[in-house]
Amino acid sequence: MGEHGEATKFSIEAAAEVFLEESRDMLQQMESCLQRLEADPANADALNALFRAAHTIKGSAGLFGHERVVSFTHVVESVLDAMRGGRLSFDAAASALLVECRDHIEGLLHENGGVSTERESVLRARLEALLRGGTRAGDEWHISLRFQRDALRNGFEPASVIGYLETLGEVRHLVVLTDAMPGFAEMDPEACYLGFELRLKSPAERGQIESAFKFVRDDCSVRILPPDSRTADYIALIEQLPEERTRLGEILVACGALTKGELEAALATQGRALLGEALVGEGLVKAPVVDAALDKQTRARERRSDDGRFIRVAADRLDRLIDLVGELVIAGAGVNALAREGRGELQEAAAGVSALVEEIRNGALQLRMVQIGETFARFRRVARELGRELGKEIDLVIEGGETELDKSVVERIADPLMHLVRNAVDHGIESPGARRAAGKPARGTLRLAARHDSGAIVIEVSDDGRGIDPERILAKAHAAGLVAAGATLTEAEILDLIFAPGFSTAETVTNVSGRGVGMDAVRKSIEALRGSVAVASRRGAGATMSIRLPLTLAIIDGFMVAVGGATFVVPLDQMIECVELPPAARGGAHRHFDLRGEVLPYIRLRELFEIEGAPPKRESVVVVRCGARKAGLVVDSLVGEQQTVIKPLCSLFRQLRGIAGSTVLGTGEVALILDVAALVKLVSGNQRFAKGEQ
Amino acid sequence: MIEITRDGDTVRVSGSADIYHAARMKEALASVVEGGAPVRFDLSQATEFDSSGFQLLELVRRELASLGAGAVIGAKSAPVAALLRAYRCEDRWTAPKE
Repeated sequence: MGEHGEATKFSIEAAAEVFLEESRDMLQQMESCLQRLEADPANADALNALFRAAHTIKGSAGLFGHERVVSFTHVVESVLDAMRGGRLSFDAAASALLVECRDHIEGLLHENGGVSTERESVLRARLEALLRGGTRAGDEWHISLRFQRDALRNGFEPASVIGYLETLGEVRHLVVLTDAMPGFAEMDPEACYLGFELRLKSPAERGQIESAFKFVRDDCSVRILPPDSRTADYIALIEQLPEERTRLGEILVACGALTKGELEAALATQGRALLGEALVGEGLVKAPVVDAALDKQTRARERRSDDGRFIRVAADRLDRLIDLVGELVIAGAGVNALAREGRGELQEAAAGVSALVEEIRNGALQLRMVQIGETFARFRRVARELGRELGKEIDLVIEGGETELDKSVVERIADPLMHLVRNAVDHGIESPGARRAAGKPARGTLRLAARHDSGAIVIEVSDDGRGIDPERILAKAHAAGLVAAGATLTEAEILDLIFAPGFSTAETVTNVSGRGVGMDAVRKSIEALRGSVAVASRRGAGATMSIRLPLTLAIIDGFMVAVGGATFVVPLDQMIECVELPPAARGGAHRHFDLRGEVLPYIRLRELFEIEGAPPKRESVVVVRCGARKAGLVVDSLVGEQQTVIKPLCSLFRQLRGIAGSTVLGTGEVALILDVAALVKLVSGNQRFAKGEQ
Repeated sequence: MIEITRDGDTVRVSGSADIYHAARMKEALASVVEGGAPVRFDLSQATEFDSSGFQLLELVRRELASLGAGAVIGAKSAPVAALLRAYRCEDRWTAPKE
């Protein structure tokens, strides 16, 4: 016990020693920064370093219970922050005061409280006077700029507008807003998402300031408040600003109605509760300003709670409804076919009905859409527990949890996802030791992301682990007889081998994954959802599994084509265009032709499905794509677009290659829906080495 | 011309990081975001730098931050320094003390 006590005492003493040492460094740094600033008051780097040094001292002093140091340094920090924000300038008087303050902090730290409290209160009062004097100068204009999306494309550069303003006066405070910028995938690199809130100290007339924006009027919304603006003007500004979720304080600060120092002071007095009242009570803001901001927040909250009003409906009722809508789509197609032969009025009426049917279809499918976030969130626990079991530290990052997809898809994707997550944790992410050795952070990151992409949803499971070693994959594949000897494969083809049946790379079968359920099972279950899965990997940096799924399993927009007496449906969102098969390409043995300079491999559906009869003189090619790959499907004729209800094939036909399902046409005939992903793969010859697959 | 190369955690942007090359720049930065690892931008060879380049860097910084990784600007050319100064953004792009 005694020994233990000694050890604790020793380590605290050692830490305190380190703290004193560190604070000596920080004080030294403050001194040199102050010297640099005296030589060049505009030196932003020196000012930032000065602020950081004060901040570090305050933080560490807090850890060791030096309350006086914390409280005094806090005021110094506020002054430095106001200088960084341009609300206070660094002049000779401020410089002298800061030097004294630095010395006082040194005294507090090293003379163990033997410093005069009187001197401290004088310094404190001078700092506070400086802060008060620096707030809201009477001759500052407030300017809010929000650039339109096309501004950059139209040749405007926001920086030049700011530059021009600087010729009119001093831009004392400027905040760039990028809130309008969407996520990486959606962000258009040529669009402008910038907004600015700035304070301009200028003797200029309103007309002069407005003229700065004469040429950008169409590309930028400009709001200017003159120096003597009333509270009501700031309220109107808060109302107009597009940044809805900005916290109350940030709105006030961004508008320049409040300084950060004032906001922090108010927060400290009232312990964050009832912020609005606190601000008014402190006399920092006039009540109406706060009311407007609070009102905005309340409205945002109300909108959110509106979203929360749900009706619980049994899933089977929804399923029944969607089945019926499916029947309605088929019956509607029948009516349309008849109407086309009939009178004009009938055609018109039928067209009106089909438009409504399409809306009902979309509405009904929407009912069954659920967010994928809930499914993703389940993996938090999985990742944590697996990590613990394997001695790995893992952070799970979820992106696009609000992406919606059909409930039936969500239910069936959970298992394959589980497999991929387990794989990533088990084989992908290394142990903390190995990660450190590779120069990576000890904690691994697993990322689950979902997004919409042209009529499909893409789900990615990625890790920042060791990646997949193509050489090991290839060696394994050779050993398992999955690759013909002497075959040359691209890296993508090699990586794709992990999905081949009978492939497992784990050298030791662990408890977590590698229980004999291979990645081929994952691919099969995803393909059963009319989806596809692909892998990308960078050695040492991690791997990404991308799953591409249709939004819904029930109804699609299809394009009908005819071969012999049979009708096939191509999902419209996978179709690019239709062209005529060039006569030169018809007879030859080569199964590809030149499509505007691009080599397009093709396949004849007549041959693939062994349909009897001779092809017509002119054949058409439907160009389809799956991911980045394109292929041509040669058919006899093109029939046209139609909404198509997908009916699954019975098990007897499930082995059919290139068929995803069937549908009933308006005429009552059955048409087969083509499995574009499988056909593209077949055409581009990707299967020449994957022996196991049919 | 714009060229983006990566060496360890350093991502070097050379050439014109402007509106004319923004699409290409975004494409090249996708892997940086996907990588999810902290990066230090070396912009000393960026001969042009406008708001579109600035936006893309902010985008990367935000995306990486959501993955728990940081992004800082190390060396910078004069156009880069000028724009960051105009936008008062030197601070948020500065590396914390090592």
